[in-house]
Amino acid sequence: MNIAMHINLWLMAAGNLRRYRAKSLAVMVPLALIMAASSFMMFTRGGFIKEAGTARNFLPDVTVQGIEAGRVGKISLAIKERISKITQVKTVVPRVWGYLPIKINDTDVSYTLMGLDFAHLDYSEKIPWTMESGSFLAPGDRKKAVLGNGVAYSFEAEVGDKIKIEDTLGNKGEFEVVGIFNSAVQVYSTDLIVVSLADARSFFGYNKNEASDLLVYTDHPENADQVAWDITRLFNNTRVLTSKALTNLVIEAFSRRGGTFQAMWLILLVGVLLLIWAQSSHISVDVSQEIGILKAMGWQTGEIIEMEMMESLILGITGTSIGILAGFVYALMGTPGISGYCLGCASIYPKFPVPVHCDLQSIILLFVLGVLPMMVVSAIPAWLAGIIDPDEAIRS
Amino acid sequence: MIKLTNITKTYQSGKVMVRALNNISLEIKKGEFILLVGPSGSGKTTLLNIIGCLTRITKGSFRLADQEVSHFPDHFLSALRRKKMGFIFQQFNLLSGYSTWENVTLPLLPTGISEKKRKARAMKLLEELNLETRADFMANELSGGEQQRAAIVRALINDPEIILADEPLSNIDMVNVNIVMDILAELKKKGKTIITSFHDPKTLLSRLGDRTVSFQSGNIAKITDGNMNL
Repeated sequence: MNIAMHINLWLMAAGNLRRYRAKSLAVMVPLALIMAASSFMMFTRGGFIKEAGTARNFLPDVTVQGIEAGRVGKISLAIKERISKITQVKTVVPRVWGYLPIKINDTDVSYTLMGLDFAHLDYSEKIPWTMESGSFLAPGDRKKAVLGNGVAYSFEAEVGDKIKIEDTLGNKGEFEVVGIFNSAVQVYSTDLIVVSLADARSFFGYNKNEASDLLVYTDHPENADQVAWDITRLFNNTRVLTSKALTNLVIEAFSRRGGTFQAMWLILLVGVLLLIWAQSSHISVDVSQEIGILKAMGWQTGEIIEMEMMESLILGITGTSIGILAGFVYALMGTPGISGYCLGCASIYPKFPVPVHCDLQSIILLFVLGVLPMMVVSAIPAWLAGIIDPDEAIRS
Repeated sequence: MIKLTNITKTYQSGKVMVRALNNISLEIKKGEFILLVGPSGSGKTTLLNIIGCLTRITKGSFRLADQEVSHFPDHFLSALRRKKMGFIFQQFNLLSGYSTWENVTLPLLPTGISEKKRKARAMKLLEELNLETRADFMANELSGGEQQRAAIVRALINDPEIILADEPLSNIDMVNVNIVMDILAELKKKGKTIITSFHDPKTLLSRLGDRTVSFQSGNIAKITDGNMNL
């Protein structure tokens, strides 16, 4: 193998990109833009899916909601004991929660206030939310709250501060901040205000025998489906959700959202391939003549294809690298301009950053998609021009 | 060295088949200077392209150094061109994006010779043809005569046995005609086999030829030994 010959061809390929700058840029710029668009979408989609997967560890095995007049409503605690008696059910914990439409600095935002029964909640095992500062609530705590990142940011609250909450529906309350969640599962915690069950009841006007839903913990997560089935069978006026179903819902939603972008990306990629192909066809007279001249000088078709593919490889790697880097930076910046679309719930999470997850597999996939088609597209015209007689190629 | 027997070459030109060469035979010995003369479209360039392995024959036999090359695969013909042939085109065919020295060293690139050695060899030949000051000029910045001289350097860079020149004097001025004539005379002295075409019988090139082959409508009309008797 003549390494020196290959090095000569590669150096010439690199030189050609410099010689034909306009042509190189005409291919590289659209490629970089496409790779930027597809990579930021891939990274943010990966971020959502990763968070959804992480959050699954924090969810109860089964959530039971009450149905009133065909809609989700309050649930009576009367069925709590009956659910507790179902085989494989370990604990049943009531929860009261609701959305808080609030105005902050003339901006309409929406948070979630959630009341939990800490006396019966095994949160050391099932809610391992790590705290950014302060601590979690303890059984018996009243008028105390743990805030999500976004809420703390909006209220400019720190541990020890007191916050007054008054939603636009007239519900009022004052709480001392004892802890702030970190960003481990921002999708779930950023808009959250966790208080005691009693405080939540008081805030939303629930009586002692009512809850928003019941959190059912089983002796083994694998039994969740069976328990859910038993609850559905026993109680007609309930809506039963397993943690698996809830997580899949989130993953599917973001997969579809990602799918939208991927479809866009695919269209763009096809567009650029057509652009490259059209350009190749357009300049094919020049390329054919050049290839004919090179062949007349004693170049072999394989050497010409190698040089053309090397040009595309350099172009593809450069364009893809720039695109991935730009996409990653754009994702880290919170996808300005389209974060609302990415999140799909911007009014609920006014300070919610788009999660970003970048892994080796995604990067390899992006490089394969960015570089391989370029190389194939460039090789075909070179091959077509290379297999005809040099005389014919020159005369073309 | 070169033996063409009953060569026919047809081209597809749109829907029409054009017979560029019609059953011609010609033998060329090593070191001969052959002049191909005739009007435009008489088949001179086609014959040069066949001998230079730039196009394939339709019928007949083409032997080079006692080997039938008409059926050789493409890569073999490329290797043959690289090792044995130097081609001077009527339109120069320099690559516009490349400098003069890069253009003239193109045939050396796939041989694996380093850039330093390539450039050194190019500079030596460019100097012989008074082009050393134009080495870093882009091809399209050269005058017609300079381009032709650069094309000659490119044809000679591999020190080929056979030099094929298609109307080498047709696109240059008288000063450069004399320069090119001198170069070809020098190459003839060195024992190179030179085959060149021209359509103007009054051209000075005719003084150099060992034999003159006259073409008419794809046929060899006449083969004259020695220079053309103008």
